[in-house]
Amino acid sequence: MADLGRFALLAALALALYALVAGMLAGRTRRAEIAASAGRALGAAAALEGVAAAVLLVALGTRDYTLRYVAAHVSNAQPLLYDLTAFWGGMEGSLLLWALVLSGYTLAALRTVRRQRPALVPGVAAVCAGTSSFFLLLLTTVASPFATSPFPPSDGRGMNPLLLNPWMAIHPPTLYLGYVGLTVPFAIVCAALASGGHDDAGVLVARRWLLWAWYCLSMGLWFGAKWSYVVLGWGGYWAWDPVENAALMPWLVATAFIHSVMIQERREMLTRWNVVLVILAFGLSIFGTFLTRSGVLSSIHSFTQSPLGAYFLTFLALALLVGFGLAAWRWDRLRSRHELDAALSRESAFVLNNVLFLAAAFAVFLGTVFPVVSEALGGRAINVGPPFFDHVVVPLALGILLLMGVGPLLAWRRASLDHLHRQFLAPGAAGVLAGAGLLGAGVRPAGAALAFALCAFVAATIALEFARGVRVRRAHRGESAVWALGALVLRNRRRYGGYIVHLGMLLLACGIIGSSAFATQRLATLAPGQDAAIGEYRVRFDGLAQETRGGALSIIGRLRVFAGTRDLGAFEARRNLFLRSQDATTDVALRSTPRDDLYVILAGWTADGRATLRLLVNPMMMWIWAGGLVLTAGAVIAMLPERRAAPQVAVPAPGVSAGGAWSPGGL
Amino acid sequence: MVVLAAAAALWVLAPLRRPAVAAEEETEREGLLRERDSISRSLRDLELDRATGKLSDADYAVLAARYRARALAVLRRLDAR
Repeated sequence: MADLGRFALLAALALALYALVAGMLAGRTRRAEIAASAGRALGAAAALEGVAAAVLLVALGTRDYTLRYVAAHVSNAQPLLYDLTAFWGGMEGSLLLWALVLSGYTLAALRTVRRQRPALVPGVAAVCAGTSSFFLLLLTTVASPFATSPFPPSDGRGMNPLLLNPWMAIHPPTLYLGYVGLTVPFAIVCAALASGGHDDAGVLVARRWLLWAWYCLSMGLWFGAKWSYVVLGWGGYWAWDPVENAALMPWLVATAFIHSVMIQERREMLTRWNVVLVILAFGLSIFGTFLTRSGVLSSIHSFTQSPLGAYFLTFLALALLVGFGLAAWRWDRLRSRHELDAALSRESAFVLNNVLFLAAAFAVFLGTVFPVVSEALGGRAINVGPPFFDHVVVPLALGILLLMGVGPLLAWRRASLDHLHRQFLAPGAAGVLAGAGLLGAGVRPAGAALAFALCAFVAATIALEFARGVRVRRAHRGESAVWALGALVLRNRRRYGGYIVHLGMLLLACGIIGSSAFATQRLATLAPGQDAAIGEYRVRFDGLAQETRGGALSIIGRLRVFAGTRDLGAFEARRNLFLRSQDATTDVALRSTPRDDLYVILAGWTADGRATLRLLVNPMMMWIWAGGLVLTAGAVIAMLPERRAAPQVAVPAPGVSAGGAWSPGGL
Repeated sequence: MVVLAAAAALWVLAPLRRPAVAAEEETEREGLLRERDSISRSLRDLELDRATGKLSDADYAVLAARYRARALAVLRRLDAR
């Protein structure tokens, strides 16, 4: 079986290399039959990667410990589901997943590009094949999932128990769909730049692909935060960990692109900027994979020990060289056809939004690589830690939040001053009232109250946008409010889908502000029958119990929770001690409401039956999770294909006014 | 495995045995259609901005006239093809 897997990957590498050469040749000679052959090679490579993946899955499912990868990530006591998710639980498997997902994307991209811009097919095939070749090279040399052991163990080590969780089962593949998805926009843009003759540099074709990758990255980050919160048992969901930052950086750049591409679509401006964003987003996706796979995060010395780091850096340098080299070659052709008409316009708000997103991405990049750079230069790794990120990124995030409210109120090209005061009156009043109300009610710190006021302003602008749209439809068509709302959203999917995404981000922002500014915690050591109060909750400790399950000895703290006199029921907080691996995991006692989460960790216990509990009340956590769901709804609406406009056209006779000769269909 | 490799190679190389065909280029028409769609979207946004009070009638008239002029130029070129 291992031989079949190895052969499949080697053959896939040969085919990908062939597709790279054939794609480049087809682009140069403009010969369709060579491009078709490159496409077939990529299809065959995808099929062979599928064979390799199937071999690995069978080996994992049957616990074939002759494979080193299986022995390292599967154990006899591990549930079958996690045996299978071990596919992406280790480095080699996750690289195979990268290659497999990329092949799927490549075939889909070739299909759509062939329909939309046939001239780009050879270039897209070549760039995707080049990227595939890199990952297949790793899989066939330094990171083979099919390496065998001459003396297989009777039981494997199994995965880290922290990874044995449903959120962790879906978090990595979702993140990978995002990381890998950024390859397609990069390939399209490179192909357009190489072939010339595409004034938009392929950016407009790449937009939908990048939006999808952005959505997957968003969900990957969201699943990861949920996992961190429910599994790691520290009460938080985001720690500015380098692995988290690795996914955040391309997300920030992709978010900037999603906004600036609208200016290119409508005004034929910012083409150069968008090209740079697409290349950067792809570069950061490779950089993120490099960070998490090279071991460079823990120490620069582990980087030098790991061959993967050098491979990734070489590929990253090559990809950036190709991308930026092509952009430089076509730089003059990408010049904007128009200029900003006015400083106060939707375009200028988007430009400012891009500056803030890029500044945030740069700050995260700097903070993430600082330990590596400082160790390389000074011999000592200096970790900047969460305070750096909080001080730099939080003000930028608040600026972005403000623009999220201001942007929709501004018209394209030129915001009329006459109308601005009317636009801002109601949302501004909502923000001021909310801020004054919160400060008057004694909400402190004042910064949090002001941040909530900003959220109220943004929420009011979104509500106003929907209300105005509905009112206009009702006035023109006499529809019911519900019908008008549905029709408004479906007819203007990108605009209103975008507003729904903003609403999701707003919920997320409220949750982050609430849980960061108002979280409380305390430690309490209790004997059975004693209780501890936190916030409006009272937690009674009813004693310890223990059980053995799934290869782990669990110590269970039995709890009963009350809110005032109301009994909220029984809860359990556990510590699971995995006897073989000596790992320990935490199952927290968690009670979630839209208002707050009660989060109880069993921090320790004594032989006489007392327990030390860490109690936390995290306000508005549920808003973060709800924000992810709303974001999904908005993103799905925004990604739905638009019907092509079928304008009523009447070309006037020479000398006749053009007014009214074009109707885009109104609302 | 050898048979599998040979079959894959034959399948991949088969298109090369066909007579040479020039690759399809993006036609000018596709570019014009794309521009037409872009103008259509912009005009729809403009209408929505005016209807929801973000744009005065005077600004709307100026901006919409520019877009319509561009649209007509595109449509004339499309008709001429």
